Amino acid sequence: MNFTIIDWLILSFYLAFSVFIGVRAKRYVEDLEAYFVAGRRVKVALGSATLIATEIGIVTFMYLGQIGYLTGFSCFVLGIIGAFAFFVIGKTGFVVSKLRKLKVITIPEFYEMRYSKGVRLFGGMILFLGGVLNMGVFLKFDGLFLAEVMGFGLERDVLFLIMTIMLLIVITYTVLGGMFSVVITDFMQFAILSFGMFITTFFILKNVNLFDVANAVVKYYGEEGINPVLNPRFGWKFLLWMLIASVTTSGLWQPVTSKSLSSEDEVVGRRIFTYTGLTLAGRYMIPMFWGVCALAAFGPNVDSQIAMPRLIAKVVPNGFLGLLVAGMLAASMSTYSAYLLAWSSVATRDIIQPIFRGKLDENSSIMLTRIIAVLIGLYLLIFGLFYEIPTTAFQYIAVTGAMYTSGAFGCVAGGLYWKKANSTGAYIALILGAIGPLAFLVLSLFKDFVPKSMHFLLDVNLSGFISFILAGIGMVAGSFFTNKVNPPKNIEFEK
Amino acid sequence: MKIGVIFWLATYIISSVLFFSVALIITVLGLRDLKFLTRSQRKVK
Repeated sequence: MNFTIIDWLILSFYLAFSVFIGVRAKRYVEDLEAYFVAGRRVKVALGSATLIATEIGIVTFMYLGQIGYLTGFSCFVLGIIGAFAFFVIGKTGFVVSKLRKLKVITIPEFYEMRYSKGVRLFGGMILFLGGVLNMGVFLKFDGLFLAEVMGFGLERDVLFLIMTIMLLIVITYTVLGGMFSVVITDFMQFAILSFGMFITTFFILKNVNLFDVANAVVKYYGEEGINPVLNPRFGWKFLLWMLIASVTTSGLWQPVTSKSLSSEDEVVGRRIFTYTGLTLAGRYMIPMFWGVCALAAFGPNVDSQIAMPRLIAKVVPNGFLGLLVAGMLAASMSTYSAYLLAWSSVATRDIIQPIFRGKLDENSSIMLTRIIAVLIGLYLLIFGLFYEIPTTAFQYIAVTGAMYTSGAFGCVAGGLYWKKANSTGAYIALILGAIGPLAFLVLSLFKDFVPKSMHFLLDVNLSGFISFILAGIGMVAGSFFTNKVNPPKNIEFEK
Repeated sequence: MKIGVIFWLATYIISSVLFFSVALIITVLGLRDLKFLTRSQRKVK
């Protein structure tokens, strides 16, 4: 056990304070808009803090650390691609500005405005499925990280208890205070996690020097550890997929986009992306570098999932370890809260409400969202502990995200920027976008039974990349050939 | 290969410094925004 009484005290104080702040925010929830998008009163600095906190969780540190350990410096290119994507959106307002002008709360709402109720329902179902599958592995990685850093080893019961307590806290304040709680707790968690990242980097650099790190990458991986195009885990296919996916995911991933939709106006929404973009390369490279340092410290033969947390447990002294775990839990809690709210809002507003033909009033709608958030929490506990992911965590997260974003990109970009886009094109884009990633996930479960001629479907990079191409072709061809029988529905923007 | 290593290490250092500096600025300015958010919103009993 690495944790001392001081570490436990710091951690307990932090958890108690989170509950207090999160539950207190309930008093600001006066209507539906306050619950789902914090009354659209979020300004730039607060919006940026909450967006960064949402996108950093223990799972992020784990998969970025793992990919750093496995690929050396070549994975750093992902940080540059991610930062580029946020700058493009920040500077051009691509997709997010127009969605903010339309005052939608979830992306499938736009499908109904521009296409039909059916597209909204179908798009909502794919978004929900991709979203919860994506989130399903979070808890498992949180567990692995805490086991190594806190020194529980294989005592899974203790871990299960800690994770359950953490989930209960997050669910409590998320279901009570909605986006208000998410924004306020995210801000506090942002400050704590940034400090946690700083002290971890400090202690790692104190123990592992840069020359050893550079030598380890060259010794174990050679050119592949430096050039991403030559690395067999990446290559052009993967980089192109990441370039397209970064722009689309940044603009269309509900937990991210909802932060822009919560902003005061579209200018603030764009600025949030620009400021977040400034931190994005660092957000990727800091944990990736921890993973590369683990390679220098332990060599290439340790389990890639636990190499980075093992290094942290070794170099961070007691007292600071409590602060670090509080910071990491802060990171995870902010992610869980935003994701829980995002997916439960989609389930209520875009799946259940259209089925009941909009007969739910505001209070029932909020109540239903709360119930679904609790159910998603239960699913996380079960799925996270028992599902074995078929690829690296980074690629699993990317491919489950692509299941939704590729089709959504066709529908939203087509709907906003192409007058001929119609509901037939939208349906085809959503189906073709989901098919590649879904085939990969299902066939990976039955790998041994897949004939050799179909092994290309087990290539995660190909299925992710091709999903965007297929969805784009589906939208263009579907709309083009059915434009006369199914004329497009247009929307008016406020000037 | 040496140039590649130096390039990535320099990129890492610049990105980390940028991350921590922007994080500090956002934390300070965010406190002001947080006051605006909570004060401008009517409390519900």
